[in-house]
Amino acid sequence: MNYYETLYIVHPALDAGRLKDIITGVDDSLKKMGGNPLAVELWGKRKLAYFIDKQKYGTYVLVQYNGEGKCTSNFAVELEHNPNILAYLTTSIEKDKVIEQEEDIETQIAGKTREAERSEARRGRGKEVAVVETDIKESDAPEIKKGDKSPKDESEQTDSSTEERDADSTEIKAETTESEDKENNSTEDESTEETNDSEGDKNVDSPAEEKSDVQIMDEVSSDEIAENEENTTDDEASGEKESETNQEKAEDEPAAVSEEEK
Amino acid sequence: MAFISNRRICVFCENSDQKIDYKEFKTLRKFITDQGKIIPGHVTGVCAKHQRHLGRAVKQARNIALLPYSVDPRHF
Repeated sequence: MNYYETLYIVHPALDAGRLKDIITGVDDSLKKMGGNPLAVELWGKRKLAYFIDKQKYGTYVLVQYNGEGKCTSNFAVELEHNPNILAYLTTSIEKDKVIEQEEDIETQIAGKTREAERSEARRGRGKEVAVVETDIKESDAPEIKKGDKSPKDESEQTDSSTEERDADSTEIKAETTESEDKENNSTEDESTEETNDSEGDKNVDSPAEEKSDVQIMDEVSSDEIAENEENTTDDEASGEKESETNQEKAEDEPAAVSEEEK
Repeated sequence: MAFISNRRICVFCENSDQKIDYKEFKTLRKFITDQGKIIPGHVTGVCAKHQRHLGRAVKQARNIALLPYSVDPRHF
């Protein structure tokens, strides 16, 4: 008759009831294999030194028993096929190292659950304290912002200033484009006016040139419009001449623009 | 400056109450490096007999995830 002890790790997700069932089931299987369980010690949930089956934590349970050497191998097979047990280690011990079990499994599980709850409560208090500290800091922060410019405000101001700058730049671009268009239009108008004046100087008596002058004046007076209506008959007659003059204008305009650009 | 003798004395030979067991992983941590390697006996001063027991206990503790097999030094 030899003395053995087996330390096995139970899955951490199991609650107290399932844990008790598993421990009792392991004891029953040990008895079936011919072993005699002497003591069961629950270490509780501990952090593993490395991941086992993707689990960071595990519940350690120590079982000490005596029996023949054959029972350990059968017991190992039983633990191997249990999906709730992550790992196990069986070692032979001397009779002096057997633990005197003082508490039952239920009381041990209850005590471990209480310890776990207390530790969680402490962690929760720590978190609450941390949250309170953060809240205090946040409450103090606006007061500081009122007096002095905080870096966030500065950043916001910089953002707003950058946006304003962008808007200004877009407006400036729009103004520049408009001014360029205006300049081009003005140059074109000037060139047209110049060409019209030059043509008017050349052909004073032609009615078509009279109408062109009226168009430049933008129909200022109704009398002039009436005069133009009277002269429409003459304009129709001189339509061919107008087309010729317009072609001449179109030819002269780009030349005038190019001269001004130079 | 205090006199430091070169003679090394095994901790476990001096203190017979301190036993080497894989369950006492807190004491075993003194005899492994931060990377999880077993420190040789000529560094720690442990005698050959207890160094053997230490090595066996450390390997058993590694098997049941009480001690790490290896630790990445980048995680220090």
